[in-house]
Amino acid sequence: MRLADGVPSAFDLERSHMHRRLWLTASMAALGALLLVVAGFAHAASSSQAAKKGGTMRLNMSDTDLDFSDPSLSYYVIGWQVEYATGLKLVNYPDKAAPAGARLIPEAAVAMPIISNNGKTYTFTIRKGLRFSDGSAVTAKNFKWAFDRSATKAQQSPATPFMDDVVGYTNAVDGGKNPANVPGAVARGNKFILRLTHPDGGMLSKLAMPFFQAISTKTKVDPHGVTVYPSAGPYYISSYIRSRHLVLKKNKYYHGNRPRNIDTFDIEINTDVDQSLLQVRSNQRDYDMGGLPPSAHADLAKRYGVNKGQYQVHPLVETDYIALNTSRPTFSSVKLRKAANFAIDRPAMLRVRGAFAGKRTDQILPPGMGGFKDVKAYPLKGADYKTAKKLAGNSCKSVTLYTTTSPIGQGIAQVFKYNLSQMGCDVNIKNFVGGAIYTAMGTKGEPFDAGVSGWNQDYPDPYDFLNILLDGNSIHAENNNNLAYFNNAKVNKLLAAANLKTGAARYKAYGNLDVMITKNYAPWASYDNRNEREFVSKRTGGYLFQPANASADLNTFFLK
Amino acid sequence: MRQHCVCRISATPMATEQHSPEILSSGAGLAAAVAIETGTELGELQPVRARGYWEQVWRRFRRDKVAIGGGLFIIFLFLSAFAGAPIAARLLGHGPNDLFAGGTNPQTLLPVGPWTHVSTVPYAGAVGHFPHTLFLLGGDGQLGRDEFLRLLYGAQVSLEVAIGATLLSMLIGVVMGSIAGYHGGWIDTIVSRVTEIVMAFPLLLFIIALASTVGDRLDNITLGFLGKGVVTLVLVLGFFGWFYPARIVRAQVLSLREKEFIEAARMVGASDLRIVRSHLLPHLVAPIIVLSSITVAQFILLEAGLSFLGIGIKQPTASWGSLLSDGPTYYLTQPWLMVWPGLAILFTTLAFNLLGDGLRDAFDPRSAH
Repeated sequence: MRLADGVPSAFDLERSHMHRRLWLTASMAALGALLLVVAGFAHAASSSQAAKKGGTMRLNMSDTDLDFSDPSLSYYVIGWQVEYATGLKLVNYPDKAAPAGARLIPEAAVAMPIISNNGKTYTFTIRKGLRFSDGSAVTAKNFKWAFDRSATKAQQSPATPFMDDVVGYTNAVDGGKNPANVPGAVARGNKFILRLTHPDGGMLSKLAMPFFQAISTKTKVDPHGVTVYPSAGPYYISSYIRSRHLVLKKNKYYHGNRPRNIDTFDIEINTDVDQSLLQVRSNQRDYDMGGLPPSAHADLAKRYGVNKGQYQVHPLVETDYIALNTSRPTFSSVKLRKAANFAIDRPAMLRVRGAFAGKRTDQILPPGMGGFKDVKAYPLKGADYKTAKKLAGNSCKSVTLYTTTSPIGQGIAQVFKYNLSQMGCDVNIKNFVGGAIYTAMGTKGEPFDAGVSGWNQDYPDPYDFLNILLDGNSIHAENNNNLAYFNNAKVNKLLAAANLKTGAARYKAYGNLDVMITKNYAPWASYDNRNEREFVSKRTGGYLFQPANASADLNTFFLK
Repeated sequence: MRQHCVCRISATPMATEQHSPEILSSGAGLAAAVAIETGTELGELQPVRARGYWEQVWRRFRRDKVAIGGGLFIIFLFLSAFAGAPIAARLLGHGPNDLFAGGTNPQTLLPVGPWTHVSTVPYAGAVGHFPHTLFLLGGDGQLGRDEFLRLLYGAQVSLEVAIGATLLSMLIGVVMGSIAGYHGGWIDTIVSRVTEIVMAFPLLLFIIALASTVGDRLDNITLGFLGKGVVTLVLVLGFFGWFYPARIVRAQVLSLREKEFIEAARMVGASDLRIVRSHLLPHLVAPIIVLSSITVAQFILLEAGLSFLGIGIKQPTASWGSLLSDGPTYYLTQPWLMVWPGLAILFTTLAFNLLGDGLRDAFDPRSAH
């Protein structure tokens, strides 16, 4: 789960000043570099001690909202950013910068699990004294309930594709019992036992997903999602009014060792991104979880420098793409999908995101992902309308594109519309607010031909991209991640076979599949691998960028 | 009211003719009196053409320089929008929706400023001859489109919506107002109550609901020559903007129907339709024209407001409202992106309002002019 390059993952104003002094005073470059490394480590060790405790941080969530606050349903980067602060998992990524922040450690479990010799049974021992925010005790049953709840068909959880190798999980989903009982997830005393049908090298990473955090048995099955519920992490959701307001408060029953400096996070939802930038600049708000106006980045970099203080840029292990719906007549044609890949102007799409936005791509796997092989499948420098027209002929008529109402969503849609119009397609754009686009596109039969989307790694394994997003066997009625509805028997078989491999062979198989799917089937028109760009107020003392969660770590925020 | 007769009166050419703006046919006596006062012989009087109603209106109107200015600006706007825009596109060699990599600054990725020569090269290092084009008012945003052309094409959309909606609302308003005013009684009661319901209707909420339900389907109706979304706005604004003309027309008709000429028409057996069409409507022309000019300005503002909110004209079709809504994103770095569409809306609404004021004065015989 290492980041793609060596951009620092945390900042602290004092630290950056110290760096500068060191640079100025060092007479020898080698010695200076050595001092910097030493200083960095010294700071990393002491940052949580130096962080001021208490206070209220005022955040915005511009132009978007959580898709759900329910842990079995939430599957949107911002939702996971919140749940990283509120959830308690068996294993988790620590509140640290890369590389430490990308290595799993036990959280609710006293230690990493005991794995049976055949690799098919995981036994966790649950810590004593853990409590939910309502004071009730956390036991192994709460982890069992997380599995049963997500496997309950009525819950319609997007977690289901991740646990198909847990004994009886898929049958439980198909059985439709409410609530489901997953036989492979067993709570016995303070032990939680997970039984698999076959060894899965990625299972621990999957368990670190918020779906499988401790869930109170009082939190019943609810396909619409619960909004406020007891959670066992450092914070809990105190109130949530959809599209309006979210409040996170310290869980007074949490006695773990994760940092938590701020008392309350007061989050305004669906704020205006331009106004929000001014508010952060003038210290009226502290940080916008929804992002920044694309036009602001060059100016922010000029004023504050990149990764020197208030303005931070971090590469993500993610891919932005246009899903080409293969289940609809228009893009059921491979030729037309390839034509779309030749027609799209990737630099123009990246420009829409503003300065420091990331890198262009034409592949599914991002460069930071194991198995990634850089190949030239489609033009990265600009559109190739000549080839696109040749491939498309007169077959492209009308295309319905789903996008979001955000400035970036609108910009990407306009570029796509213009590009496809050059090969004879008439693109009609339909807009959605925030995460609603995923609800719509995730519903099988939804009448869209293409959709603006992006995928950030859930955990560092190519399975999370290729199997989760392109395995036709995982297509359900709702909550689909395979937004291209790509279902090719040969590819499904190869994906399943790749998942059974381990180590270098696994990465090689996935790397080859990425190239093959991109070149031969083109279910996506990928266009960039994005950077996360953050801007915080002057009164913010510091925070860490959590590399595994690909977002600012709320637990580590502190005020000056 | 109409005075088409040319009355010959025996009077000398009047020295005062050039100074006196209006010589009415019924002013023969006055001319004679003036002739006497000026010492000329009655037998020397030259024939004086009596001025008709429209001529008098025109003479009054043309003295109002501000209204003339407004009218000229509107003519200029129409020419720029419907003739100038395609000519400019042809001269510049690109359209309002074309994307240019050079439309943004390569370092900051912000739109280029006014009067920038932009390369048409599709990407860095592309082989071939790629001439430069001129962005007169700079780029429109991070998509790198020509702000000048989008402003011109945006004028087309704004005018199409405003004039279409005005015509529709006036048509409905005049019909409803005439029926209510002429018939009175229960018909008047029904029409008046319907008018009040339409007045109280939450138009903005309705448009938002419409946009999120059948808006996409309606937007695709272009009748082959209009921009996407124009027909929708024309229908919505027209169907919910007729109450004001209806009330004015009703009040006028209520007053006119008691006049002697209407009584006379009734006495000779004219039908209701004929009375309304031939005797009432000609008297309503003046208020309709004045109200129309002001309504056009209101609809231009409303269209801009709706597009600003994202529920009017959809991208990539340019409209002043959508251009204005992109502006705040760049207001710290490229403030002119708010200025161009802002000025266009300001001057256009001002021009229509000034024209309306001028017409109102011109149609009023008691006007100071």
